[in-house]
Amino acid sequence: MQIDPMQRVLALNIPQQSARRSRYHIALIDMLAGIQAINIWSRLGWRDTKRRYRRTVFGPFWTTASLGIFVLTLGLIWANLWGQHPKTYLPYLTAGMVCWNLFSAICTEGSVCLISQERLIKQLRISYTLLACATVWRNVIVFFHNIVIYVLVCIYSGTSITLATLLFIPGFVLFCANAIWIVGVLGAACTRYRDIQQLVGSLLQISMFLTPILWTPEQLQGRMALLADLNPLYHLIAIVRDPLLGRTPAPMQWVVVLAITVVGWTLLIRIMTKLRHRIVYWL
Amino acid sequence: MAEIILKSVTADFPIYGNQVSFRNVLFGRVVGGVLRRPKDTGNRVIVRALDNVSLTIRHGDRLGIIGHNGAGKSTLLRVLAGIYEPSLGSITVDGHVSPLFDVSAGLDPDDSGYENIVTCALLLGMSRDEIERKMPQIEAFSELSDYLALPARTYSTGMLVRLGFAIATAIDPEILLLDEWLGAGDARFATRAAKRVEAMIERSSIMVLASHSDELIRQMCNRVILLDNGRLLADGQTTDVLDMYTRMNNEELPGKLQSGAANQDLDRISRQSSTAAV
Repeated sequence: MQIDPMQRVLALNIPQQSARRSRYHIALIDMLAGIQAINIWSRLGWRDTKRRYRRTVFGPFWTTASLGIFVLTLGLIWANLWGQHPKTYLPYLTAGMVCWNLFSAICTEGSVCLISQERLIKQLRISYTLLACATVWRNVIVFFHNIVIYVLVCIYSGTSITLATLLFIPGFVLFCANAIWIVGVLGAACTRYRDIQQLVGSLLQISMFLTPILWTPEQLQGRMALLADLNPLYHLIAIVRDPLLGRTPAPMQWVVVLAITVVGWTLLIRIMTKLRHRIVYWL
Repeated sequence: MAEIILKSVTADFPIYGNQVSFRNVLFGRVVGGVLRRPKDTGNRVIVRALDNVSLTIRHGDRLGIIGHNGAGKSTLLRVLAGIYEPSLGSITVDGHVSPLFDVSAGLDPDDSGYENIVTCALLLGMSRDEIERKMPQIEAFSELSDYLALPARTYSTGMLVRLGFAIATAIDPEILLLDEWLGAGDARFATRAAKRVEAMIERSSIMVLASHSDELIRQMCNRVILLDNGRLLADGQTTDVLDMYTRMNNEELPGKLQSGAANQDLDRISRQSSTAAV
């Protein structure tokens, strides 16, 4: 069934006596219609990517290049510091950084995904989930630019493609499913409380060091090992990174990520139900 | 049959200053009673843009909305478009709504005219086939010819309006909402735009137009409502309501109107519980 993401179905019929139920209904339509409108959010996402290419030679590859330099220089130094072989450490670091860059961009851009579309939101009744999907899609495109670095590193280190690599597909899909709710929740929260945007920025910085990206969980000694296992971000990154490295993520990690997905989407539905109609007043 | 029913619709805009933010909520929780402010109504500034508006708009209605600056005309239109949901009261809209407020919203300055036409039309709810079909008509009306292949940032303001207008008016609307259209553009464009909107209105079942131009309202509308400070003052035949509005302006001139819109707004902010003084 094709649902019109704009006015037609979102046309509000909110009888006061059952306002809560109809708000829940509208929240669901916002999500379903938003996700279904692939032709619109993919176009909006591409439009932003194209803008980065305009009048530059390399466009988004500039971020890829800076990531490449980061990985190459620091990767070699850290491999040496921690006594690891560059041929095992470099692929690990690169795959981790490519995934982390995606996650971090999703959080920072998710914070402004509604604020930056104020004009559009005040012009027509539009699905917020659609705007969230556009933000995720745009960053997925950047991710696939960055993956070039990883391919180069793999050629250097001789990391081969295995059957486990195929798990990248479900892992990445699950990752994106989480990205959508993260963008949706942050977008709504940051519209109301503008401080959260700054908070997200500083939290991201710390999380990057707390999450096993630069280091491996095996390097943690004793009780500190919990630092990795209790960190949801570790599992979220791992289900994309491990297949890239040709490894199979532990079943536990799938379970944790699935649980995060369910909790996250429930949170998004709750927020959309309770606050969707308020968001435009906050813009 | 398209129909819109508003029942006691109120729209309250919370005003958040720089001091009312996350910090207050955070500290309010942590410190408990000390920093907490009076609950809800106490010190939060609210602007009541619409106050208890009940209205039924039926098939065939060409409704004009008149009133001073800040009377709530644009807010009402945006409530009808489903952009603002009422803080109190209920609204039922039956039919596909096409808002035509800000014709250049959704335009990307770096995209070419053609790309912008497709993006905006998709956002307005048109299908690919429909866009394909209407492209020649949009091209023709915008009169941008070769410019359509250039990025929109090379356009003049008037050209942007022409493009946005051509896209927005290409839809077949059931319910058409217009807010003081025809911002920019030369005289030639103004007449062409008026013609196009008239043709569009012909095809639509309901039209709602907010305007300051008596002439335009007289020409386009068969029913007029008068808003004042968010309240519905009058609803009736075009000439009756327009006459009433003129009389009201004349009576008020010595006092209220001269004090300007700013005073009215202050008036409205503090007027939360005062009764209607019609």
